[in-house]
Amino acid sequence: MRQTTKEAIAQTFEGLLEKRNIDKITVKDIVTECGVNRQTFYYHFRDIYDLMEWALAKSIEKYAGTNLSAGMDWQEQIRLLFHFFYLHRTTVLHGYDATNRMQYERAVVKRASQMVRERIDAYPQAADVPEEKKEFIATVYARGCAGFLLEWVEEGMPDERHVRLDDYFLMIDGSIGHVLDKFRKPS
Amino acid sequence: MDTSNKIVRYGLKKAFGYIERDPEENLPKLMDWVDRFAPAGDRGFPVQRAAFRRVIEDPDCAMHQLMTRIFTETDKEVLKATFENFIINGNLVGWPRQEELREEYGCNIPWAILLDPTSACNLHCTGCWAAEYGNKLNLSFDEIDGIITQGKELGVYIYIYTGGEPLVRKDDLIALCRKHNDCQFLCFTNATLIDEDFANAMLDVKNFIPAISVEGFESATDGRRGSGVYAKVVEAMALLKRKKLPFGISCCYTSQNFESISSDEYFDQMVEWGASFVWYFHYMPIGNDAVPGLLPTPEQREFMYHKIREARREKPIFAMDFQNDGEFVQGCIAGGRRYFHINANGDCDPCVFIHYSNANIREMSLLDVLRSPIFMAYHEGQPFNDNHLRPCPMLENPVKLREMVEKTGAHSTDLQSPESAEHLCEKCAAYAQNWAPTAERLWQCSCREKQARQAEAGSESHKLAV
Repeated sequence: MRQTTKEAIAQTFEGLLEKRNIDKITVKDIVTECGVNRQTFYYHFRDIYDLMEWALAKSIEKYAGTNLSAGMDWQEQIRLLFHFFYLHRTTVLHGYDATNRMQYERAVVKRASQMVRERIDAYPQAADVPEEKKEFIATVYARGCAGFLLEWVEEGMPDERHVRLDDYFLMIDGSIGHVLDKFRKPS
Repeated sequence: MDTSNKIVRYGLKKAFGYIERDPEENLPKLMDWVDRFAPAGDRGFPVQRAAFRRVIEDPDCAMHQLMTRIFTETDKEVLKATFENFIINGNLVGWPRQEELREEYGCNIPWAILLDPTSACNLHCTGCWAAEYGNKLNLSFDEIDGIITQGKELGVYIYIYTGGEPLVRKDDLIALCRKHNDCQFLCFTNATLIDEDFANAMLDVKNFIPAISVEGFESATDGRRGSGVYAKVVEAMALLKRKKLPFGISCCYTSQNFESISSDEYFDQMVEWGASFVWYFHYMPIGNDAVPGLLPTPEQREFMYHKIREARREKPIFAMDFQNDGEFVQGCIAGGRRYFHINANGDCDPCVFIHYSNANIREMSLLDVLRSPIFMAYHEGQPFNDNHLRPCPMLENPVKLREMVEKTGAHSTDLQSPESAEHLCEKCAAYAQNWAPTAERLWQCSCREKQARQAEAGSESHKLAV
């Protein structure tokens, strides 16, 4: 019951974000449109950014559930993640400001590093590399992707083919195994 | 917040993350950080820090065991939020701001605000002052939100709900915790409305700590509050313990129950329930129907004085008795000096026990409340007695309250049956007179002990210097 209220608030917010910028949306706008009390909003969310973060994570999760499958190539997965942002570009652009810049980055780094991580774990030498180092490697690769995403948003999100992911993937191709070798524990 | 404050906050947060991993080893190191960053002079709580350091360094001390218990038995995220909101915001950030404003406006600026979200309660206990309030009044979400928003401007980060039973409004309270996630919330509660859902919500917001009213064992509790209540309360505490949520206990002592609720057996029981603190309240004969016979005699109050000091040395639970611990806070803390009370009608009382006011939060700002006549009378009158074992302008110095109420024209804010200050103070006159000699003797004793301790510390530092 609570969960649906929470989702209803998020949906209302996304609807408003289709129409105008985040700095023009107040908690009052959201609760009026959604037909709940102000306190109900705060029962679920600290503020609009907290709502934004939750809504973003939730819709990425939903998208990943239907579009990404286990065993899919990690580069393909990252392409699809970018495609997700492209599909939602109106709300992404309307939500873009200093605070959300960080949230977009966090969301992408979190997702992308999971994707790289799966690839890393498939390497035979991964067993000899400490957990925290593998985490670190995954984050470095993911940060590269996040950088491209933010730059792209900054440019107003033209066609996603403008993002130079192909070159990025070409550049790092085959490097994971090499990096893992460097981090191997001396046995 | 200025940059240096941000750096301090960052540093303390880092240090906290680090002690979590191994409290025994790393707590002393955290203390080094705190010492390094604490403001110079009294603003940096030097006495409190020194006491804390002694606790950290002595593993046999009861307070050390309490700290270890808190570190191992509390949810890590909740502990972190409590540390940030209570220690950093409530004290290290809030205190300098409060001091600044005290000077600027020449009035009291509190450290905490007590407020009643509602006068409603799901129980009807004999003799409860909340029961007298009736159940029609509420502070709305927006009103409480407004109080907290204004309070933070004044450097107040600690909010304590009382009532009524605050958890009648639990959804609103959770919403306020989430909205003001930089504040620490505490709540007096009968605990009967704490269920699995609410415990999960507490884990989610992380900044809500209940102080559960338990007044002894099963027969005493059920006798006063209704049968089955004790079992429900014990169940709620077990739930909180299982969820690794911190909580405390609050007890009111009277001439009837003082022995049972301060017994070793009861202390051990509270520790076993998982409480980390216990607040003792001396019975106050407020309200037209109050029973002065429940007031402890001087012998009984002295018994509590020694008992609670002993418990602080020997039991791994933090015990406090507001009436007998005035020496640590320089007497009366009400009237906004450290706290004040807003009832469910918006009336701003100087104290939870003193229902006389000229100010209502619905009509004026928080700052104007603190500058209203009776609050200023408190400000000017404090401390009401140089003997901090006689702190209260009602209980131990009833003449003072009568004078203040008369001078300021404050009216009774009692929602049910307004009581005149004369009527209230009359009930305390005999008590005050009887308590005075005992208070004098205990006060002289504790002053001598303090001097001896200071002399010892002085000679030690002298030795070190030599």
